[in-house]
Amino acid sequence: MLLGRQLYNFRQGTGYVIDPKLTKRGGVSALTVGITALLLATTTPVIAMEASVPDTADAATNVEVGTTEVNDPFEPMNRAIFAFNLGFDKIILRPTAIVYRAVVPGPARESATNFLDNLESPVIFLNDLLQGKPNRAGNTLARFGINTLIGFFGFFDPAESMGMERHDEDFAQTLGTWGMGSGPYLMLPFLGPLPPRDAVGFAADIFTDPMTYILWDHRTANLALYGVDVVDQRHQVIDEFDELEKSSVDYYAAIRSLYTQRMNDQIRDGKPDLENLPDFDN
Amino acid sequence: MFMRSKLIPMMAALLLAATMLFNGAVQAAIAPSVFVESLTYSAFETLRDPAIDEKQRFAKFRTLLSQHVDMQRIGKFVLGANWRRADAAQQSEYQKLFSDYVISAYAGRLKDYTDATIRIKDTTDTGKGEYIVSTLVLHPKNPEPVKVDWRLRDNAGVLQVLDMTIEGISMALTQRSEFTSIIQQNNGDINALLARLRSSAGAINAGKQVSITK
Repeated sequence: MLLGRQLYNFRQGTGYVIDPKLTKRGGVSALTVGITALLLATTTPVIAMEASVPDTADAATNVEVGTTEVNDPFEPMNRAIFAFNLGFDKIILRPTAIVYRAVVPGPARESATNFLDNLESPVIFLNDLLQGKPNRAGNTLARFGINTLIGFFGFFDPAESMGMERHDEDFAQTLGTWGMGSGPYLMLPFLGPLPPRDAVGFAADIFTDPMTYILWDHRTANLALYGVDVVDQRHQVIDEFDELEKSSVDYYAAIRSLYTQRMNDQIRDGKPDLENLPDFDN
Repeated sequence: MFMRSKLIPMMAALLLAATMLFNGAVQAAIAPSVFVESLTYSAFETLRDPAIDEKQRFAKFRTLLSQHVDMQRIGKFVLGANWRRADAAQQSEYQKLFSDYVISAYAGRLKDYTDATIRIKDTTDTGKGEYIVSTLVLHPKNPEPVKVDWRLRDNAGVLQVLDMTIEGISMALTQRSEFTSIIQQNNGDINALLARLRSSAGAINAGKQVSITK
């Protein structure tokens, strides 16, 4: 179960791991996706329940999930892919992240995160503009200039200490602000949760990211960057996701609920959704 | 700033204590943001008070939450469509177990956060007798503040918590998906959920912290 402590710490967890936005860094996006996917794997009890749920759950509970939570018509397939992603995480990604955390000193890891964050700036800037938010665009631009120039190519984040807080945007969020719904929930191999709207956004992020073109002919550098990016994302949420998996009755359902809620929150830039508050009276 | 952050919840607690001595009409006058500050302050105070033992602490925490959290409504919401399928006996047992479960879960989980400070950002009046109070929770453990929105309802002149949204994730919705999933995994049997809650209640009485999903 997901109350309290986990979620208290969850900011980074959801931000980094569940989001398709991860996927856009440095054109390496596909990697990120992998990380995301991994997070999503299921636990033993969940696997056990996979078999029984589709045919045995009664109609009332199915409707419940369908209407109040997420539209998930491909649930059996999604669960299978989730299990695959989880396996990949268990065997490769999570162990790598654990070694990375153990071997690389904290300040170096932080600098890597800053550097990778800074590389996202062009995509964030573009989407600030597409959403008609000039102030946020200005903030992104100023942060990029300051951190690139005085922050040693982004390895440090002096802009933050000047009161310029980082925020994220991506094309999936932009489509959301334009009123597009996410479409059915979809789990992709290595990429994690990526419903159609967010998949389109993901692709658009790759195409609008300068790093995609800068590294077009440098496959090794691109792969290395991608690898570092994935591990950077994953290592930040090792404990959070361990805890989440351990305490969930249904890890797949927990991730699905969190992904959807978190994505909607990001589309609104963290403002409460007054139109669609959960209905406590019916 | 340090002074200020300490002072405000203290004054808020005083204010709330004072108003609780009066009747409902007076209580309605509490600003939603004051309500949130005083509630969190009292909760953290209760959880870190060195002068009381664990049993008293839990009892105090229970009183605080039962008074300021709309447990009945939340419990009903969290059970979702299964609420209507439950018979009267199941409903009333569920409500009792649910409230115990929430109190115990939060007492356990908030324990690590008693030195957190809360900063009110703003209050939105939804115009339906409800308010959303947006806050930032700062804690030495977290490099960045955590955004927590409190949904309050004015129940006949008394404010009560309806939901808590942490970084955009609603506790009530998330809990609902969990409970729904437990019932689904047991072929729609509500008693399966009750059994889990019951065994967690046993553990609570034995003085243990509880997560029903473990």
